[in-house]
Amino acid sequence: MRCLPRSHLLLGCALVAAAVAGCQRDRPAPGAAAGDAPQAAPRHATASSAATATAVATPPATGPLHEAEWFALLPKDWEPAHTFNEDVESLSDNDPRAMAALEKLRAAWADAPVEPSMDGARIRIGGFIIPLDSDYGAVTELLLVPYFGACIHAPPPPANQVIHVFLRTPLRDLKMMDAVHVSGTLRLARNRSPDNVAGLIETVGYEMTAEAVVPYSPD
Amino acid sequence: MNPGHPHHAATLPDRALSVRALRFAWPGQPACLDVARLDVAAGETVFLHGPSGSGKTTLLALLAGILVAQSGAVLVAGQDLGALAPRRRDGFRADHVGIVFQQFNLVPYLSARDNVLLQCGFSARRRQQVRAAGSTPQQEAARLLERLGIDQRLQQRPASTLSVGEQQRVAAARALIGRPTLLIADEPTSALDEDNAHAFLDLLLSECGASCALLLVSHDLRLAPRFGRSLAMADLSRVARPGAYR
Amino acid sequence: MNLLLLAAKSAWSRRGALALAVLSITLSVALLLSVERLRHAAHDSFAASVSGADLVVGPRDHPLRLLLHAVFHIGMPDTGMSWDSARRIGADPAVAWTIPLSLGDSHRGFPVVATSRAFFAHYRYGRAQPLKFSTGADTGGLFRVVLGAEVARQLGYQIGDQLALNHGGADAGAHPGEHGGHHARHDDKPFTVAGVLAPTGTPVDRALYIGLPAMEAIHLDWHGGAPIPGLSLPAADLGKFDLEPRQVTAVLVGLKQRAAVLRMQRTINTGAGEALSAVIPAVALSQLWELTGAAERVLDAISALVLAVALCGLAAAVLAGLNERRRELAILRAVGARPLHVFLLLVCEGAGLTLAGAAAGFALVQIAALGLAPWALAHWGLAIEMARPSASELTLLAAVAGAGLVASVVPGWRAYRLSLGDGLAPGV
Repeated sequence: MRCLPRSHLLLGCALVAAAVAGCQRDRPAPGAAAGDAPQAAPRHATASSAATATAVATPPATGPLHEAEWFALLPKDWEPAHTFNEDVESLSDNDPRAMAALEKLRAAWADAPVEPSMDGARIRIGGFIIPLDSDYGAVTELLLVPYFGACIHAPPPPANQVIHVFLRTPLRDLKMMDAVHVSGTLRLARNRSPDNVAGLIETVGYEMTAEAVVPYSPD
Repeated sequence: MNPGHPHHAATLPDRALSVRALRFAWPGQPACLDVARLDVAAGETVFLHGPSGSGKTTLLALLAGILVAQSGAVLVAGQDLGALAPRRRDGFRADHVGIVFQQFNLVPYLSARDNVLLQCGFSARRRQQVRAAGSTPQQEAARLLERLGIDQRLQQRPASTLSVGEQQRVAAARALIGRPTLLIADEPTSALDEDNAHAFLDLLLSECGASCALLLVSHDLRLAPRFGRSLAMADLSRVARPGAYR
Repeated sequence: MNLLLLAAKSAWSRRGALALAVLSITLSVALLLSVERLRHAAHDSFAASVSGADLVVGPRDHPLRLLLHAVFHIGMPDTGMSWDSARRIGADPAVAWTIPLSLGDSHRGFPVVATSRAFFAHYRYGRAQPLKFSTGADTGGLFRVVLGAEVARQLGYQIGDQLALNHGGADAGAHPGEHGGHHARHDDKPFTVAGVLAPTGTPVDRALYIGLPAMEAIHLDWHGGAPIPGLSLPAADLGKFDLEPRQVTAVLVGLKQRAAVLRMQRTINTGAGEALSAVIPAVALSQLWELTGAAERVLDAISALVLAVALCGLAAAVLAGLNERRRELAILRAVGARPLHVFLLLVCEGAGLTLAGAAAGFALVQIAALGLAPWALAHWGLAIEMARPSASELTLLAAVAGAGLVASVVPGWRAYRLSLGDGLAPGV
């Protein structure tokens, strides 16, 4: 009986599945220019503001991804606790020397140096996200941090434990503190501000243009 | 497979229909049919008469394979219907048996031609037979309907707009397309007036020809002489008693 | 002819009886989709309003409240932050620019925002788009005002028109307090419209923008929310006074390195001196959506329930019509249909009707979105999109069709049993 040929059924299912997969999470936000693959828009440099780091122009390097741990982003010889030259344990909380030591530690964290060998490394790293900017609700930029609650109730991580991630295709379903794996080429972020001392390019952290952002899975 | 079926039932391809020791009872009731033997040769025309309630419709349902008897064998075109799985039995019926009812034969919202094509839709064998004759189902349906007096214009209209006589002829075309082995007709002329009844019977007999056996059941004995053989339900079934069973 | 076509023709022949059932499916699917779309429109519109500002800094407060007030002009401030703190933040080497904001006054229902020229240079919305002027510019004297697109449109203002500001919040009558309770006006200091901004689809459209010195100027002869009796300073004399603000409501901060936002936030939040809060806008919005999430889920559940009711209605309609179709089913059996075919016929019919109803519901929502989108944008600042259906919408439609399939199993099963029992002679 030519009632419902199985081929028709399979074709129908395949079409539906393709349609759903075709407009997955990474669809462009409304009003996207037709035909564009949207890139994370660089911040506009106007005459009166300093230029900020952008990471969109570089094409992705090819090569295998390797799973990275956060401590790999620390320089091998960085030990900020060495700035303490007193035994902190012996101090009381209100001792001014404790406050001074804390300030020193804070400064050390603020100036946390990067590990130069990680520049250009193709990595896949897991962390928690802090959304920074969105394109009508589709996240375009985020910060990846190693631990939960990094801006709510825990002190922020040092600059070498934060990755500024740019998304090639904005993603809709990302929210604060989602645990994700991000894959891409890690680059050292350079401060291109024109009010640097001429010629000095200051490296201030890590950034990455993400090739893939997937929910975290513990494998 | 029913336990009561005799395993030695011979396959006789030149017999359109063969019934042996058929007994049927509705659940919880005593047997309403008990047929010792019935043979219909290929292309033979058989008239079966009997009053209502004598089990005619039940017998026809058994012959078509819609019902399955508790014991005995029904062979259509040499195939024991009881030996088939229900799925295959329905397919076999589509391939080899055409059925015409007294009335309401057609799906009302389909056109006459679509009603005829419905039969082909359920039977690959009928489609093959049509193609083997060098035609397509659509062409064959149109041709059959024309021969039965339904012109092109009428063929396209919904079946519900046709007269009873026209509907019966369309039903005949549907039953006949693709050369079935057996055509079963249950009181097909009872809803028609006398002239129409005779005209319909003429058409039916001529279209059945030598390849399709015709078993027609009716209470109207005046039709009997046109058939090759005439049987009475009371003779055929040992328990046929008017009004005794449903 | 295959089963699908047969089911379609069969359903069409009974369209009178089935029409209402299909209509109820259409409406319930439209409801489901509308709830989804409006939710996304609200989320997206809020997100669009804060592109580009890395931090919003204000007096110590709940981060959400600060964001809602400073950017969305929702709610009333209790207090402000000092101008000193604002300047100190602006001087931080990590900061690229700051936009100070001062709210408090209103004009005919729209909030007045006092800010600096940095607002027009650095504020971004949507896809990092800058503000543009449709007419005029931020030029002129002390008492110049720039209007958002919606303000100009609704109140019919043009370049050169003069207007007076109300002291106190936009709906001052509803919030009696220091600033509210009376519609006192700064009639003696009228403002001149210098420019009108192009539409943005954000709360920017629904506000008026004056300079910070101007805000100081109009309050010089006021104290505690009312004009000082007997003291009236003519506008011409104001140049002699120091018009630097003492307090602002909030400061939008843009950093040179966006990644430094965490550190900057920590520094401001825990700094010695004035108690301040620094809020990352996207983070605060996340918190907002968590708050509203429960209500949104309830809405979704109710819509799903409505759909379930509609599907039951369809199944009931098909089931009710089965009795008249027993003859039709017997005919199908006679031509060789299996009881399974009968079952499939009914299931196809139900699923097909559900799909047709769902597709109609989707079309309805698209047309409504097309018609209502400009109005929603103008009145609520909601950008409802008309683009091709999103993945979630397609999944929804597929799920609805699947539910229709499941609901059709009931009449399908009944038809199956009927055709098995009826055989060639249905007992009608």
